[in-house]
Amino acid sequence: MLPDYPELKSELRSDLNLQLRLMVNMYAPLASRLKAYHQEEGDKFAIETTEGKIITKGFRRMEARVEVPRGLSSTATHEEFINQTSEAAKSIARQSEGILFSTLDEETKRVGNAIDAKGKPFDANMMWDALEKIDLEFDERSGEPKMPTIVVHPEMMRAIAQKIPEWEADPALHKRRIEVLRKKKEEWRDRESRRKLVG
Amino acid sequence: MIERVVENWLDNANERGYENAFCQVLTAKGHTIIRRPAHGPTEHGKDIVTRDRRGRLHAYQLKTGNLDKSTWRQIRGEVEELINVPLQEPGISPKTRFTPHMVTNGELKEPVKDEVRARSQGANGQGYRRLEFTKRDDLLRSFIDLHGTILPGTPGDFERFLRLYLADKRAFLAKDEFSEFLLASLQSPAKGKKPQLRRAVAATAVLENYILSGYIKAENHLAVAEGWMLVFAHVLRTVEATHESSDDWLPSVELCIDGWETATSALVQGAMISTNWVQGDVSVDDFVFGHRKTLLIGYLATFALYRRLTKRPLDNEDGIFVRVAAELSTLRFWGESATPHFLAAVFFLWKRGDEGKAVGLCAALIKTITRLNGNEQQPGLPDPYLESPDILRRELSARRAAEVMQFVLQHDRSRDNLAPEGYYKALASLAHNAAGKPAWDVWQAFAGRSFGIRCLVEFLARRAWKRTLKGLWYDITRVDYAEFAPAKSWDLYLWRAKKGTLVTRRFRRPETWENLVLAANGKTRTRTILFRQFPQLLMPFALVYPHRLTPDLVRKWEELVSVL
Repeated sequence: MLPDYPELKSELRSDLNLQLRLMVNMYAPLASRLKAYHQEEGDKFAIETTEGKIITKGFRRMEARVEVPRGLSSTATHEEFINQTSEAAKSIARQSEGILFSTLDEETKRVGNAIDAKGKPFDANMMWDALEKIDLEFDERSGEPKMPTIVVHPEMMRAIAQKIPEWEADPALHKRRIEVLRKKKEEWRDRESRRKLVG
Repeated sequence: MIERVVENWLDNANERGYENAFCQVLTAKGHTIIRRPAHGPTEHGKDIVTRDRRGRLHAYQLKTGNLDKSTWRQIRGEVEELINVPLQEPGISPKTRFTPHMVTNGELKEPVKDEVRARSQGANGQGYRRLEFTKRDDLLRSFIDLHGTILPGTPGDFERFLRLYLADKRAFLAKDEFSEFLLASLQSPAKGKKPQLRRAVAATAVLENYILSGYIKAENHLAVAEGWMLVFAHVLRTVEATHESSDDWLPSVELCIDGWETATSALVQGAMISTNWVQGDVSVDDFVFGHRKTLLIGYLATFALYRRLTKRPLDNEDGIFVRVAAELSTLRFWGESATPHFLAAVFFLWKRGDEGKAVGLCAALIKTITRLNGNEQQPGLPDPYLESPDILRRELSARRAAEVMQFVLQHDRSRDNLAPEGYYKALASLAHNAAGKPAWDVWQAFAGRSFGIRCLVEFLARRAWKRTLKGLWYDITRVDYAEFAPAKSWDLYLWRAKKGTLVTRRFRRPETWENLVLAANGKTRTRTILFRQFPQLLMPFALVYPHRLTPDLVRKWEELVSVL
């Protein structure tokens, strides 16, 4: 064996792992915004849905392989490793976003919140149709809605961007917007008013 | 190699350091311990009194070091008491014959041997009863023979044993490593025939004693108390999993409890003697003082109630109450692993007739948890899997990181061009850590749930503080309650269980007072030996295993103390 510095390298490796995690966050903008809990023990977790149902699940593995050829120079090995780490981060990000969307898909179908546009092009009414099916939260101080994040394909985003001025000027859509938000706010107030101990 | 370690341990231990191990050896040989040091001060030269398998009685006096002529002169009086004064134990006639033993971890010098021999041969029965000696080599052989089949089996286990044995004895016990070592010891396969449980349990306790005696010598009473509680819990796990008869394990378990009790008593005494609770290097003690205070309050309160539950109330309980009540206002709630310490104080105040203060403290905890863990807050209050030393280290690291970053930014005027991407990435993570938040994992959050909140809510419900709870309920519903359910009930005793489910539930919206009270007063579901046979140790267990604090445990503890 050649001389080595295992303790120091372990610290440096921790920094690298931290960078990997930050890169995954960068490549998984949606998944990285979700709150994550670290579970110290056990092999399952159970959560209670808003309908009061307990769902138990196991964990899913996300992994990426990093392979660096032997025999390269130290600098080349390091560069290769950094490149591979970047690719690994992208892979893990893809897996985590994939799990996110597949879970969303399963849950929306289970609950009945899924909307099938049946091939029609996206229009603003579809967005309001979708919002009508979900709970919307409002800021306690300002009363403003906390709008959800909408995920669209970049090409669709370009198409939507062109239509936004037209939609904003449409009085029927404006009226619909006000009506949906008013209804959602009432539902929110109703939910909030149930946060009480009665009797 | 283990023999060298045991020799080293024995040569450096005082009698308090080896007495528990010696009792374990006697237990393994089938002795029933009638008197042991935890029962009270030595009486008439007798530290330990036992009955062997054949019903014969033995009395032991334990000493440290070589017994030479000058030492012998000093202890002669005690030895004569050991030999000549009849046994004074309940249920034993003073006329009962017994064999006196002198035990030391040193050598017996010739002049002493000669004197004892001469006195034993005294005329007309006026001499010594025959005094048996157990010396260093005898002790060494007994200990090694006992755990001969329960050794650190692999190099990894042995390395862990050495790390624990050589750890800084002023520091906290590494409970995770200690637990791993216990698991390895209790699961070690025997050489040849499977050892009986009695021997296996006693041997394990002796092995752990080697590690803990260093802490005993350093007077690190908290580490010793935690260590014995871990041994006790892991032995119970083995016992529950194998459904063995209590004859095989109860004597050893009682010795573990004695070990815990002796250490906790010393901790409480030390806390009551100290006027300011400052310890160690005073120049930087202020950073850690708040954490120490919370730990001490928890142990003071718990031990006072434990002694009442075991029908031996502390003489200075009034003094403890005054101290606890006085120190409450500036306690540090570092995270959910502090909840058992606060709850211990709540119960103590309640039982001392100050329900108002108890309820106030409980409500304040709920408010703190809901403020820090209400859904919008990040990262929230650390969960009970993170204990005081770990949290303190991270918080202080974050503070130092902020100072370092400030220094770097102020002094990095050397660049005209942008630094490499990696430099800014590192700076970004440093900034993230330094922005007044603890240095947690990048993805880690605690907000949105709490492990202890339900315990606190149900305490208030059982005490019928409806208005207080109504006032808190809106914020309570912002925090889900979590509880870990191990797959096997006996894995409750593990430091970390591989199999099990972390269940997260929501408080109902709305919730009725009737339902809440019904749930709070529900039957205890947990049926482990700890709950059934040793409920007086529930809160002491929770102090050491804060992640095992559950509504069931708190309910059972309250049930016990309510009749005091």
